[in-house]
Formats: sequence, structure tokens, C-alpha cells
Amino acid sequence: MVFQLGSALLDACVLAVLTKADTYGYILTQNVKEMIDVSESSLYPVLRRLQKDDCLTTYDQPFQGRNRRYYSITEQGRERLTEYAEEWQQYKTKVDKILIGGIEQ
Amino acid sequence: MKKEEYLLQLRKKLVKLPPDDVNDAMEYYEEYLEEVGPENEETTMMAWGSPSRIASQIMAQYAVKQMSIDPSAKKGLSTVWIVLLAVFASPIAVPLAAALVAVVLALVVTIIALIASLGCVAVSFAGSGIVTIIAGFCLLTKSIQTAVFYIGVGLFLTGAGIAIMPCVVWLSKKGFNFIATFCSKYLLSLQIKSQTLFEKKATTKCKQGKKATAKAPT
Repeated sequence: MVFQLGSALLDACVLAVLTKADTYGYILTQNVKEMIDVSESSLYPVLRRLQKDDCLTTYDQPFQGRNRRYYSITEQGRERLTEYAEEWQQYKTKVDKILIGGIEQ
Repeated sequence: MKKEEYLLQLRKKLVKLPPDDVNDAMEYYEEYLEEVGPENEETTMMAWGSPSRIASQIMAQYAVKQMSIDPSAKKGLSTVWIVLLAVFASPIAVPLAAALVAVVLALVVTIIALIASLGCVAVSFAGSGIVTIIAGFCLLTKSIQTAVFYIGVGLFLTGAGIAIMPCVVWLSKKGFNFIATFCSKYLLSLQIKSQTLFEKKATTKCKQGKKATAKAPT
């Protein structure tokens, strides 16, 4: 992708993936990677940040003798996502106007 | 590099962070490597890059977070320290890192020197004031007028010295905060920029390498 992905958009994508179901680190990373080009190592800081902002919580579930850490979106996370979605819609319309529609005279 | 070795190196790089944060990060990366399975470990670690790269990302994010939570002077100084570590851990050219560190060091030393000199002024005011007061009392028996004059001047000087003290404390707090914000804002953005630059270079090199090996058999 030629366009740079800001941290806000990355946050929004992670939150969006988590609205479907709780999931653990590996699957979450794979899901986000399917949508956008993001390096695997940069996702941990994003998760940590969202967790500190109370946008998501974690819980451990045993799997084959070890623990899988599941991430779950909170009410605050959902609110944040709605905000992001609205902002994105506005931003997208503006960019579309210029890029695709050309500047109207 | 083996998985255990990789994780151990990462833990060593993160040693400056609070233990809880270190454990949290370690659990994430450990779990991730478990999930991809032994056959894909190698490629995953290659994609992550060196342990120091991941460590600098984690520390960078931690420093920014810390500054927004608690912008006090003590936290500020430890933030400066973490930022410097993050800069050194990132794979930018060493001379550049050294130059950056030199600039920051110069800034810190200048600010400390300024504050220290102001502190000296305050202390010397108060000190000379006390000496003048004592001199005034000694003169009491000889000439009341001179003694009163001396005591007055002494009191004024001591008062001025004491009045400057809080200013010095306030200034030193402001100064350290300034250094801390400067570091976390500008140095980190610089460091992250240079890191992405480095990554781009690395990926193009990888691609070129692949092309070269693809062409080789024909």
C-alpha cells in the first residue's frame, strides 16, 4: 500500500476485528494483516495502547497445556470505534471529492 | 536464531521497563511464536526483525504513554533515558545516533548549568545577607545607625535569596519537563522515521535478492 497508515486507523481496524468475536493475538494479527499491510511486530504496541485506554480487556484460556490470551472489546472500545467510523466517513468523502470527483468549480 | 535465544534477547533489551510491562510483552511474542508452530518460527522472527527493533518499538510507545500520564520531573528524566535507549536500539546509523545523543546531552547540560547558576545566586544572596546581619549586631555597641543599616541590608538580602529559591525549583521542574517532552516528541518521531526508512531499504534488498536468485538458474 502506498498510503501510510496512522495509529488511529490501526486502532480502528483492530477494534473492528474484535467486534465480530473475541480472539487471540495470532489470529487477530492475521485478520488485520488480511485487510491492511502492517508489519507483525507493530501490532503489539497497538494492543497495549488500546488496553491501557480501556478499549479492550484480556483473559487467558488454556489451550494444549499453555495459555492463549484472548482480547475482548469493551463498551468504551465500541464507542471509540463509532467515533472513528464517523471521522473516517467524513475524511473519505473529502478525499474522494478531490481524488475521484476532481475539485468542483 | 533459536526461539528461546530470540526471546531472551528481547527480554534483556526491555530490562528498563517495569516488570509487568516486560512480562506482558514477552507473553504476547512467546504466544505468537507458539501459534505459528515450530516450522514457521524462523520466518516469523525474520519478519519481526531483530529483537532490538521490537524492543525499541515497545519502549518508544511506553515513553510516549508515560509522558501523557505523569509529566513530573522524575518521570521525565526516566523517559529521557528510555528514549535514548530506544534510539540506540534502533538500527539507524551509529554516527547519527551519536550526534543525536550529543545534542540532547548538550541541551540537558545547558539547562542544568543555568538552573545551578541561579541556585548559586539564591544561596549567595541568603549567605551574604546572614553575614551582614551578624556584622550589624557586632556594630550595635559602636554606632546604632550603622548597625541598623547593616541589619536592614542583611534582612533584605536574605529575603531576596529565599524569594528566589522557589523560582529555581519551579524552573528546574519546567526545564526537565521541557527536555522530556522534546525527547519523546522529536527524537521519537525521528527514530520511527529512520526505522521505517530502514525497513523499506531492507525489504527492497530482500526483493532484489529474491529476483537475483530467481534469475540465476536461467
